[in-house]
Amino acid sequence: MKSVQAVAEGRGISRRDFLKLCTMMTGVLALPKSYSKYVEQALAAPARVPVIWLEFQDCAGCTESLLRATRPTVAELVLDILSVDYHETIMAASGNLAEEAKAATIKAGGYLLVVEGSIPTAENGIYCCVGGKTALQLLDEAVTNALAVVAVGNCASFGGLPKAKPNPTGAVSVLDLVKDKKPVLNMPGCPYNAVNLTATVVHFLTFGELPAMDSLHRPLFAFGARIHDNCERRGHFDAGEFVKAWGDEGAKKGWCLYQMGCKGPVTFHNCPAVQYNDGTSWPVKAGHGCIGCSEPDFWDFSAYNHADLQQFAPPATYAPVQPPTERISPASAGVIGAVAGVAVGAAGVAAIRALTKPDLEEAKEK
Amino acid sequence: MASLTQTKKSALPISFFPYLALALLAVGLSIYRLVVGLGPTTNMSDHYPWGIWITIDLFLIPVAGAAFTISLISFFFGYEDYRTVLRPAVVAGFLGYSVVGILLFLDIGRWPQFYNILDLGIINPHSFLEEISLCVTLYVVILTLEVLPILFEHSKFEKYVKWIETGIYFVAGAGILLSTLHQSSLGSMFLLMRHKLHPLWYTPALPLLFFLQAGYTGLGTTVIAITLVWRSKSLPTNRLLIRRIGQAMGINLLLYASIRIGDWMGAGEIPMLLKPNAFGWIAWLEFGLGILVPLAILFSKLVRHSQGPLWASVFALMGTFINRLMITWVGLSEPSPVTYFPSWIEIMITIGLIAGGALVYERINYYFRLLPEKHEKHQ
Amino acid sequence: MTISRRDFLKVAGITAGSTLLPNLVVHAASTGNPDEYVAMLYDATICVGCNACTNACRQWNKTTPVKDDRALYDAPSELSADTWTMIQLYQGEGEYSFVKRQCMHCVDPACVSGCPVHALQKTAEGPVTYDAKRCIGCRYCMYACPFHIPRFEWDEVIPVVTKCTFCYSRIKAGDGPACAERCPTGALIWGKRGDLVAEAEGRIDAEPHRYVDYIYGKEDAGGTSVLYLSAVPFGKVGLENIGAEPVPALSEGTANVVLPGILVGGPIVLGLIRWISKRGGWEESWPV
Repeated sequence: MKSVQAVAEGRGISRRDFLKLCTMMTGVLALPKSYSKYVEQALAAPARVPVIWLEFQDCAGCTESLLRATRPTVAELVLDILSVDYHETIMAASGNLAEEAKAATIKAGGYLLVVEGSIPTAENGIYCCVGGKTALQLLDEAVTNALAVVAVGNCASFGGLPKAKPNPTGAVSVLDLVKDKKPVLNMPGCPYNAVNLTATVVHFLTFGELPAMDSLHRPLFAFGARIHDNCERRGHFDAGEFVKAWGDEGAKKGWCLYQMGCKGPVTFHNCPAVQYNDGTSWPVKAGHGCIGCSEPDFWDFSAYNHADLQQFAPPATYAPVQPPTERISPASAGVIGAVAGVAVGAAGVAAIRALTKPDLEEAKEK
Repeated sequence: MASLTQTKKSALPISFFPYLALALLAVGLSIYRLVVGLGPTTNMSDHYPWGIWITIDLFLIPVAGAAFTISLISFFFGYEDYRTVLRPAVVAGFLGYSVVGILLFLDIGRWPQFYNILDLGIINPHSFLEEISLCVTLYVVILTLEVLPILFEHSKFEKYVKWIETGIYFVAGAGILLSTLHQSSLGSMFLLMRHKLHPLWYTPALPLLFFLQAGYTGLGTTVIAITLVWRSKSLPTNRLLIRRIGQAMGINLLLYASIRIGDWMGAGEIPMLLKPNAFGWIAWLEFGLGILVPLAILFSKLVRHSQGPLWASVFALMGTFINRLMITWVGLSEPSPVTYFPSWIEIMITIGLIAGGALVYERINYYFRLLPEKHEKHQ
Repeated sequence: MTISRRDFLKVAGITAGSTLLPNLVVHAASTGNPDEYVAMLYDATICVGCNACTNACRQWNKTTPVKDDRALYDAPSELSADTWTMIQLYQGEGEYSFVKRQCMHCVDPACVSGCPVHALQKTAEGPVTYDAKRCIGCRYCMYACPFHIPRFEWDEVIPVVTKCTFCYSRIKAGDGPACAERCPTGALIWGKRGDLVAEAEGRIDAEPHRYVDYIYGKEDAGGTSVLYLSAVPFGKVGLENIGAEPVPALSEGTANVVLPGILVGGPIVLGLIRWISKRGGWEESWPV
């Protein structure tokens, strides 16, 4: 068994570049920089984690996402460490041979169960059968000796497209079926972002456990902040500059897509930071609003209706309402009082003096 | 003719060079204000669009009301003895309105278009400010006509202004009409500011109150002016005349006071005067100083005192000043912590122009005849 | 030389008559049907304070942004010569509300009544417009407005008075005002005043717990063209209770009575006084 570092050396990658990878992974995991040494240790230690990758009601998009990790350095290396013993789309074997490989791995235990696609439950689950068994049965079997279950993609995490109204096959998510039998990590997205899976694996190798998760079992490092919070077009939202029609002036200037239905404000994902296809682009960058693909039941959001902005705390830059005041400023009052006092005092004194002293003699009146 | 700066005969408290300096400074600063605008030269702002210039205007206009009050009493009521004070009152009016005219011109932001107020095609006859502008412009013409005979007396231009004295009824009558209009309109102007003016000063009776106040303030100015003119000529005080003017002023003050109190009572504002608050105290000060003290003098035997009506006038004018100060500045509420205090340029222009006016008055008194000939001859 | 009473009264009458000529218009503002005026409805419960409206106004009117202290945002603290509309924030105990401030385009505007040269006019479509060619910069409008709206270019040598114009040129072209057209949440909508009042009433009826049961501007100051709905009492967001009487009512009423009264009655009264006060022989002391 070779460690990631050994495999890297074998591929001619310098130690310096390897350390850079470790730092990058630390970053994706939203860990402090000091943790990169732990990541390095883990990737330097020999380890091999067997994986069973099941696909149910899926489009194989998540597998495609995995395969799009074109940077040979990170994803391929890590995934070389994962011994993917069963993967219907990419494994070489087929038929009984494939099934036997899977059964052997399950029996041996200590594997990571990755599930792609939702599981239909209507009519005893006959809407998805592989090798004569329903998806329900297959999942049940595979969960028995798994270390943990990772549901990749929105379909496995929350039911995805098959679950969209009217859900004729009774599709449900992995968590709905596994419940608390095993630790379940959801990696939603349509497709999910391969970088996030890579980072999760690195976390697992480094710390021996799944990363911290939110209430929907999504890893916080990738799903802890909203698209809206890190979006490169947020400034335009704040300035009230919105695209109003496809291709208009605003669109050409890269303005906010909120009015075009962007669900960024209600979607938790790290797309603005890591982007897709190894940092090539992501929907908003390409000019279309976020459709909320990492959120449960996103297929039932109206794509072009406005997101409901909730939990909105107004920032301090707003001008306050100004009520009218009826008051005399102390400075004005002081000066006016002083001047008035002097004038009145002087006039008063002079008046009293003039009027109290004996008057002039009466002049002869005409 | 004596030299321009000789002041031997003048006992008026005005010395030539200091007052001239102040006046010239004001002229220079005025030109500066016209060239650079209101922002750099004044402290007026969006929340205090009017400053002390308007306050001074609203004080000087009733003061200059001396002209119309004396014209009314002497020409239309026919009290002959008031002729004695006619010229001093008219000159006071003329100079007062001149200073007001300059200050108003300085105050309007778009002064190159000031003639728009005279363009009958576009004016708004329901705006009291327009009405005031028109009236004051016409009234300055009337006052100029009334002053010209004084200035051209015994000169080669005398024959050109004879018609004014012949047609004095029309001239004076027009002047009284215009004065009534704009003195009351100064008050009506504030009828639009019910929401901003403090209730102790705002009332629908503002036009009437302003008019009555112009009456007694004008009479008070007359007393002060004639007293100074007599002193300058070393003439004794005509106590009967002064007393009669004082009595007229007293009646006028009483009318004003009763309407003011009646209005306060009618609007239920008496409690505001009784609870301790800054505005209540100022109202007491204004009323006490400007109404009660003069009334006390004018309705007592002090009215017969040679200086009784004089001091009553001084205090009445102070009261008028406080009243106009409250209405144009201190009594107006604005939704802001911003306050206003005039800039030194505003203050110096005001002081300088008034000093200029006073200086011109003193020189007119020196060079021209403000008192009736037979009056001067007998003394 | 004595003047006969007849001559005097003749001349007085002519003078009075000619001064009455300019107009006998009863009221300064144009009389139109308020329901047909173009108007705006601002629903503070929908407003999220994004300032799209402020920004739209800046772009259409080409006014200058007011930088905040980090020079990052346009954050005006109050209306000014260069800021014709803005969003203010009220924050209280456990509650907050935004409020948009701009000219209310009153049905019976105080500024129009007070302007000496009709520089401010109430147009037939509803907006109150400003004509700098007429304006003399007297700033009476700034004092007359009960909402403290008109502002002044203090720093210009020849300044103008500024305020929201309701994008009058856009209204004439059939468009709406820039701010209402830009609002992304629908908090600010425009239309005919009658329709918007009905819309506002409908909203209160449909969700009575959401709003204070009052449409600000429906009757305030005689009615304004900018109507407000709010979840918090209007006094808290700076919209004071100023009563339903139009602001110019008393002033115009006084002008209608006092001005003709003095112009006509004055000469008559003066004539009467002169006639009654027969003092006899006093002409000897004239000229002085």
